[in-house]
Amino acid sequence: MREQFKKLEPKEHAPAELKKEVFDSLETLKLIADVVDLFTAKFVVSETELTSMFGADFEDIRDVDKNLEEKK
Amino acid sequence: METSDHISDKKIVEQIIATGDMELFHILYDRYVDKVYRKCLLLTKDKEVSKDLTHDILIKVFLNLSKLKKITNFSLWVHSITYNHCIDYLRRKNKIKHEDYDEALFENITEEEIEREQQELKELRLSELEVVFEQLNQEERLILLMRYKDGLSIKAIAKAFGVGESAVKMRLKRSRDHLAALLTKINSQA
Repeated sequence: MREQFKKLEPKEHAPAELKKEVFDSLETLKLIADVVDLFTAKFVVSETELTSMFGADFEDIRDVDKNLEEKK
Repeated sequence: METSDHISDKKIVEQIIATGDMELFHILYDRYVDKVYRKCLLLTKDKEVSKDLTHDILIKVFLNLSKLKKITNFSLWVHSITYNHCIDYLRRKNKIKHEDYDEALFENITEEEIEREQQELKELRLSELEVVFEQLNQEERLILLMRYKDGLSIKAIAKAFGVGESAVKMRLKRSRDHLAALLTKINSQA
């Protein structure tokens, strides 16, 4: 029984156009992954840059808050 | 110089993981596309569906290459992705049913007993099998292929279906019984 099952195999080949479709899909997925990477990397960089740019101001705001608390 | 024909699957997978080179995946694609497509075709009997399933399976294979920790048997890994994907497809199409059955009736069946039962079908001829295989339902085709074509253990089939081993034994027995009944029918008509 096992022998016959092993021989059970269609003769057909996969359609030739399938290869292009698979690799096109992989390219698209790679592109999406690159865009996502680019966005998340840029976002982290931008956020870091913003934090360092306005770091002093944030400190100032904290100082103002502290002064207000003390006056109360 | 080493031609791609002589490079092992393992070596190619290692190179893809190390370099991310998609060009190398062409070699694996050429080696496996027909195997995957034919398996899908055996299960679904539908060329368009088989083409779509093969497309998705090969993408899944590529995307999961980096998760392959130990590449001991790449071919078996591709087969298991193929079967898992086909099981998901048949579930979505409601071709695999959840049935109530008396688990106790099947839990004590040993692998030896299953082997003995299949001896009843040892006289099966390929020409007969080709005819009756078409008449089985998709779940029966799937489980018989997993067991008798690819030699998967009851445990491995149970894991793939997400059911207990006794459920697999029951489905195997029922599929074999159906196969035997169909054989009797075509032989009596001959």
